[in-house]
Amino acid sequence: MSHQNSRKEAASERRPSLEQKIRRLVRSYRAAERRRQRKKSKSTRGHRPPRNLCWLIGLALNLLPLAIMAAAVSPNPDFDQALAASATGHYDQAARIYSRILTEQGYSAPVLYNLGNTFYHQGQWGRAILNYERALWLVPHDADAAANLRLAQGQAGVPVAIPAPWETLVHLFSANTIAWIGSAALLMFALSWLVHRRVQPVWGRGLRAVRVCLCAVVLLASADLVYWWTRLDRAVILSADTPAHVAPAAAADVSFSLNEGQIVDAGKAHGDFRLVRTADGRSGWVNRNRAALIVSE
Amino acid sequence: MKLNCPIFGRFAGAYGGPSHFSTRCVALRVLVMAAVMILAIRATALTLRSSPHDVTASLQPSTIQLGQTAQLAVTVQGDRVDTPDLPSVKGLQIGPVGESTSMQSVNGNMHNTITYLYQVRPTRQGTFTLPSIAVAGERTAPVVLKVLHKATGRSRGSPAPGNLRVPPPAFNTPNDQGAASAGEMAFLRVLIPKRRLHVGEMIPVTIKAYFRAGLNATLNGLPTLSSDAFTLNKLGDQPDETTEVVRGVPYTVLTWSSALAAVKAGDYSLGLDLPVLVRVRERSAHARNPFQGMLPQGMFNDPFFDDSFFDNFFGSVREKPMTLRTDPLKLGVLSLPTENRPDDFSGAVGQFTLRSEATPTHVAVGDPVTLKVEVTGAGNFDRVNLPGLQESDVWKTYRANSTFDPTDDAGYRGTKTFEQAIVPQKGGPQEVPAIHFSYFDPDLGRYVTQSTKSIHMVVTGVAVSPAVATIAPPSPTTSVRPTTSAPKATLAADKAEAGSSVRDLRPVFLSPWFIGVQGLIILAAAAGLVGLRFRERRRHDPALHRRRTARSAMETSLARMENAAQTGNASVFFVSARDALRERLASRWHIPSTAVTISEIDRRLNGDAGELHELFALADRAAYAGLPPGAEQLDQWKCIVTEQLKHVETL
Repeated sequence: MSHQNSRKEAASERRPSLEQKIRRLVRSYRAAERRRQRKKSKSTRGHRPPRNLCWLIGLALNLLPLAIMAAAVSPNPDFDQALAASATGHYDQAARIYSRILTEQGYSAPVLYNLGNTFYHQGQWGRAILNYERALWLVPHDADAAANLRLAQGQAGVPVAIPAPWETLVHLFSANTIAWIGSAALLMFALSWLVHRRVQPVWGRGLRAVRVCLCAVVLLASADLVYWWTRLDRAVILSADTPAHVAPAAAADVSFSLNEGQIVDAGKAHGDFRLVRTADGRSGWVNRNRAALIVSE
Repeated sequence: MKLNCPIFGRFAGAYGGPSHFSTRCVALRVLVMAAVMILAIRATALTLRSSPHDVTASLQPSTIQLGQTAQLAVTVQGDRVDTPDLPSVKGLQIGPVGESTSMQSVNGNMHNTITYLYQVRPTRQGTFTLPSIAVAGERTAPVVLKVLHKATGRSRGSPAPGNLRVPPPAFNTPNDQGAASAGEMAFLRVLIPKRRLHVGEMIPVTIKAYFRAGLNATLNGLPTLSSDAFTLNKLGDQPDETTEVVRGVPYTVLTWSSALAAVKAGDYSLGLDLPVLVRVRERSAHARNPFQGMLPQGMFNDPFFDDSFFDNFFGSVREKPMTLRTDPLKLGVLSLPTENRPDDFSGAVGQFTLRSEATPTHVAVGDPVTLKVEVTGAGNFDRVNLPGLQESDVWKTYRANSTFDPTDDAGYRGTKTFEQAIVPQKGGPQEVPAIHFSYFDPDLGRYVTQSTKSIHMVVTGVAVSPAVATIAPPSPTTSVRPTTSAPKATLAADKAEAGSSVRDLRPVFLSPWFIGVQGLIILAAAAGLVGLRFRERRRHDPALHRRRTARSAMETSLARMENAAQTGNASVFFVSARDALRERLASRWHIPSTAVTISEIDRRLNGDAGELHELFALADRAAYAGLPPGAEQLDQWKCIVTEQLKHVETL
C-alpha cells in the first residue's frame, strides 16, 4: 500500500502542477505579445527583400557578362595554329590539330565546324557531315554550319532534310539551353508556391499570370526536349558503299549498301557491328568504324 | 518326381516326364500372370463403364479464315458412349472425322478418354456459336468460332513443311469411300496459264499437293523442277492449306504460288517432284486378337481383345519416303526476236508502265535532288534495270539504287523503284531529261520502249564547281558571317573564335544529377502546394478556430490573473479567474462562453458547484459592488482557482 502511495507521489511530482502551467502560459502570452508588436512594426514598413540579397544579385548580374567575355577572348594558340594551317591549304594538319583540341578541351561548336570545313576540302564528305551535325547539335541556329552541311550532303549525293517551319523554331535553342530554361522555369514555379504566403499579398493576381507563363515554359521545354531526345541516336556513314549485313558478322550476307554521308538511326551494338535503320525503313548491321554516332555514346 | 503344385498337376501329367516340367511350369506361370493382368484390365474397364462421364468440347483453332477448316474435339472421360448428337449451325458444315481412345493409369486408377473429332468448315464469314453438345446425359459448354474474310496473301496459320501433319479431311460419307483408289492417296498438280512462252518470260505457276483423308504424311522438302530448261522463283516455306473434294473424295491441299521462267528455247516437258514421308501403321504379325491360338479355346476369344487399343499397342508405325510427281507438261519456248531489238534492252520480258518524279523541284545550285523512277507491271523484274540519268554539264549524277515491292506471293507482279541522287550544277530553269526503258511484250510479240516525261526544275544560284570552292582566309579577330540565310553555293568561312566547350555531347537532361534536381524541385513544389492547402483548410475549420480562440482567451485570462495576484489587484484577479474558468467550462460543455453563468453551472452540476459558485459570485461582486472583507487573500484564492480548474477537467 505504502509502495503504491509513493509511486503516486512520484508521478504527481513528475507531472507539472497547474501553477507551473499557469507560469508557462504567462511566459508564452508575453512572448506572443512581443511577436505581435514586432509584426505590427513590420507591416508599417512593407515587404522588402533583404538588402544583402539585392546586393548579391546585382553583383552577379554585373560580373556574368564580364566572365563570359573573359572566357570568349581567352587566347587559344592551338586553335590559331589550326586556323593558319587551314588557311594555307594544310587541311590534314588542321584536321589533326582540331581533333586534338576536341580531345583535350572538349567539344566546341566553332572547332567542330572548322573541322567539318577541313574534311570538306579533303573530300571526306562523311566526316564533314558528321562534324557539321555535331556543331549544329551544340548551336542549332548556326546558319553557316547548316549551309555547309547542305553543301556537303549535295557533294555526297545524299538527300538533304529540309527542316519544317516548326523545326526552325525548335532549333533556336540547343538541347542543353532548353533544358536549363525549363529547369529554371520549374524552379521558379516551385518557389512561387513555397513563398506563396509572403508573395500573394503583394503580387495578387499577377502571381497567377506568372505561374501560368512558367507552366507554359516548362511544357514547351519538355516538348522541345522530347524532339532532341528523338535525335540522339543518329549516326553518319563515314565511307562510301558501306555494306549493311543481315547479321553482325563480316561473313554475313550483305543486305544493301549505304552511301557516304548518309544519316541513319543507330540501334543496338553487337561486337564490332551496330544495327542501323535508313529513312526508308531498311535495317542492317554496319561496322562501327564506318558509322559514327553524332552524339557520342 | 511328384508334382507338388496342385494347379499345374494336370499339365504336368499331360506333358509327361518330369525332366520337362521345370521349364514348362515357368512358361505356364508367365501365361497365367498375363491372363490375370488382362482380366484386371477388363475388370477396371467394367468399373469405368459405370463411372460418371466428364465431357468437354474444344475448337482448334478458334479463329480461321473463310476457306479454312477447324477441328472440333468432343472429349468424353469415362467409358465408350454413343456418338454425340451434333447441333446444326447455319453457316457451318460439320462432318465427322474419327475418334481416338486413350487409357491412363494414375496411382492405380484407370482413366479412359474417348475423343470424337469433327471438321468444321464455314460457308460464310462471321462469328458462330456451337451450342452445347449432349453426350451420355452430360452437356458440353458452347464454343465460339470466328471466321474472318479470306486473306489474299499467304496463310499465316499454315504449318511449316518440316513437321506438317496432314489432318484428315471432313465428310467421310459412305458414298465417298470407294471414290479414290489406293493410288490416289496423294498426288501433285501444277497449273500454268499457257503452254507457249518466250525465253526470259516469267509466268505465274500454282503447285498443289493433294493428300487424302486420314493420311499421316510429312513434307520432306519443297517442290523442285525436274527440268533445267526452266527456273522457279523461291517457294514459300508455308504453303496455303485448304480442303478440296476431288471426284467425291475429300483431300487436304497444300498450295504454293510462284513464278516460272524459261531459260532456253525449244520444246521441253515440265515436271515437278515433291518428297514426302508417309507414316504407315503396320499390324502385328499375330492375328487381330493377340492371344488367339496361344491359349485354350474360349479363354481370350472375347471381342474385347479385338479392340483397336491392342492394335495400337502391338502394331508399329513406319515412315515411308515417297516422291509425288506431276504429269509431264509439254511447253514450247520461243527465242526473243533479234530484229528491232532496242540498244537499251536489258532482258525485261512482260508488261510494264513507267513513271518518274523529282523532289524537290525548287532547289539551289549544289543541292541534291532525288529522282525516282517507278516501273510497275508483271514480268521478270530481276531483269528490269535502268541506267538512270547520265551525267552532264547541268547535272552531276550518282549511282541509282533500286528496290522491288512485289504485290503477289510469286514475285511476278509489283513495282520496282529506282532512286538516284542528282545535283544541279547550273542555275536558272533546268530540265530533268526523259528516262527510257525497253522491254519485250510477249503478248504483242515485239519490243516496246517507254519514256518518262521530262521534269522542269527551278534552280537558284550561280554555277559552281566543287573543285574551285574556296575558303576565305580567317581574320584573327572577327568571324565572317553570312549576310542572308538563303542557300549558299560557296562554303562558309572558318570561325575565328574557339568558343566555349563542353566535355560531352550528350545533353545535360540525360544526366542523373539533373534529373534528380528536377525531381527535388517538383517534390518541393508539391510539398509547398500540399502545405498551403493544409494550412488553408485548418484556417477555415470552425471547430478548430473555436478551440483555439477559447484556449487563447483562457491563457490571456490566466496571465491577467497571475499579474493581478502579484500586484494585489483583487477585483481584476477575480474577474480574470472567472473568465478563465468560464472559457474552460465552455470548452468542456461545447457552449459559448457567454452562456456559462452561475445558474447554468448550478443546473449542470445539480447544485453541487461549491467553490466554483462562490468564485463566480465574488467576481460579480468585484465587478459591480466591491469585494467583501477577507477576499484579499489572493494566494489562497489562487490555490482554489487552480483546484477548480483541475476539477473542471474531471467534469
